[in-house]
Amino acid sequence: MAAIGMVEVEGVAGIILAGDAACKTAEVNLLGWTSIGGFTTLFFNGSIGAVNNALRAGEKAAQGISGRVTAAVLTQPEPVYDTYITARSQADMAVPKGALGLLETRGYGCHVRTNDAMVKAANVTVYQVLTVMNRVVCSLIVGDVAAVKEALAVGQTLVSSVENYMGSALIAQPVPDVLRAFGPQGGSK
Amino acid sequence: MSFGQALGVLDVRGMAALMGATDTMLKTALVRVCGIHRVGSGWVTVVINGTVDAVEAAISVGQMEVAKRGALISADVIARADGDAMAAMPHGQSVRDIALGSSALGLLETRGIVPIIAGADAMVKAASVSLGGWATVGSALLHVVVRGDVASVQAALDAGKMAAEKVGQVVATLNLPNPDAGLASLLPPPVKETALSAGGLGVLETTGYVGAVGGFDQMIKASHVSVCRILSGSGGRLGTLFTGDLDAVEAAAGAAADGAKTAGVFETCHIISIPSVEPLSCFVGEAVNRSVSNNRLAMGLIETRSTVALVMAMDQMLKTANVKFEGSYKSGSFLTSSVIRGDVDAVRTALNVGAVEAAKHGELVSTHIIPNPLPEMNSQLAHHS
Repeated sequence: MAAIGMVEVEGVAGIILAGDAACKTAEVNLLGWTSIGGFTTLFFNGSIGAVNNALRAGEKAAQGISGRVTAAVLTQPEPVYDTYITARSQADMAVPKGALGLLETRGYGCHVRTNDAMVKAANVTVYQVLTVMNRVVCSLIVGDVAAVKEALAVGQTLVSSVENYMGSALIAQPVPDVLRAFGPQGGSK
Repeated sequence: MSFGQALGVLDVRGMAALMGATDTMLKTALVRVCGIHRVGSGWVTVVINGTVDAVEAAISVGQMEVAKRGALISADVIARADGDAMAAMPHGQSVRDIALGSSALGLLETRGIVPIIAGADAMVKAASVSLGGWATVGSALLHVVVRGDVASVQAALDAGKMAAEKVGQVVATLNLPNPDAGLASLLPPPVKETALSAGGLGVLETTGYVGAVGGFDQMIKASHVSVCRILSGSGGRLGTLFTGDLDAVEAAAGAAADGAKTAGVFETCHIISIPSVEPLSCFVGEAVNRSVSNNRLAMGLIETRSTVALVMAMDQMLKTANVKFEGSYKSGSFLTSSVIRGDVDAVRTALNVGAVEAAKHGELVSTHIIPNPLPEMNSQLAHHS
């Protein structure tokens, strides 16, 4: 592969959105991600043209939820980039069908209430709860689009007034590799 | 299931506040700890379950106790929590059911590595207590646990607090004369006994890995000390622990501070004379001896606050000069660093190129070159994967 694309944001929801947008925009493979205590970085590869296009789309998607976004393309990469990826997309992992909902906050306690309320409000399940340190916690829920939308609305009502609310997002048809990279076996950091 | 499906959730800053409140909650009502989760920056969550009445009673007193310490983030009660949703969450994974013993439990919490080690040593010297391990909850908040009879624990805490305050910041102390057995999940991992002894223990505290390695290099060149461990204190803080004869440790300390200042971000350096075996077992532990080659090539270090900046810098470094990548280390608080080897000119060229490239993408914290690293550094450095 001729190029590597990287997107770095505060929290983890931003790179989930970036990864999905990148894979939908151009022929790129999602490699995985890493965290340095609250800031996470997504890695994908492809041809130079594809990585450039995917990166622009990924950056834009991340900006929808994260403040500052750092993005870069590495052309003709030395193999060393791979040592920085600590959570990888598991190639043969089965993934749930349907939509993906994200709810990100600082602090863990509120996720107990919101996840409980979301699964009761609509037919969704809790797919993963990611802790990337610096207090950032992101819950991932799955279900059909309407259910995830309804559940997220309930979750948002519960946390949007909290000063520690960071953001939420709905991906109607997530790329399977995104679910693999951020899923229960995708690794914690 | 028959125990009750109601959940209580308490979000707290600091382990002393959390442990004190949890002990009170467990004694107030028939509830048990069903989860604990750390999210960094000092924030910890405890989850309890029981009947609605019991959980409400427990959370109400727990919340009050935490608020008294000014450490409350949030508290919540959920009458009937969904079992599947809770099972998918991480808080239940670290619940342990181990015997706690009947002795009193004391806890000292500090900001920084130097005060926690100085405090721990003072505690075991002041009274007949044993160290029950240490842990961190992020933001350089560290705590150490002691066990003993009530009077000894109090004497130890008084001495530990005084010693720690002399060299840093004490965040809290806690004395639980009769700790509830349900606190087991909140305790740090137990200490493995060792037969370590030394005339002196030096603790060099830095923010970031580059400063720690710079100090390490200089101290072993200045004096006959051995570095036993580079300990992560969270919040970017690293403690480089070195031992030897007291004179040697004293001679090494100045060099360690100078080395750390030149290379990276120096915080403090402290010497404990004739340290007790307990804090040595607790914080130094068994010697780590990574099998690595006896590399005497020059060493280059680069540290940033961005993974993108570090990856871009490392790629340019490897393309520009004849250097080899050796490993990486994350210190917390967004600090991430990598190490290269090569001959002196190649490493210098690579670091210059890397510094420019890193600064284009994010925050460059420091670069440092060690032209002639001693081989005894190799087995103790933390960046070898």
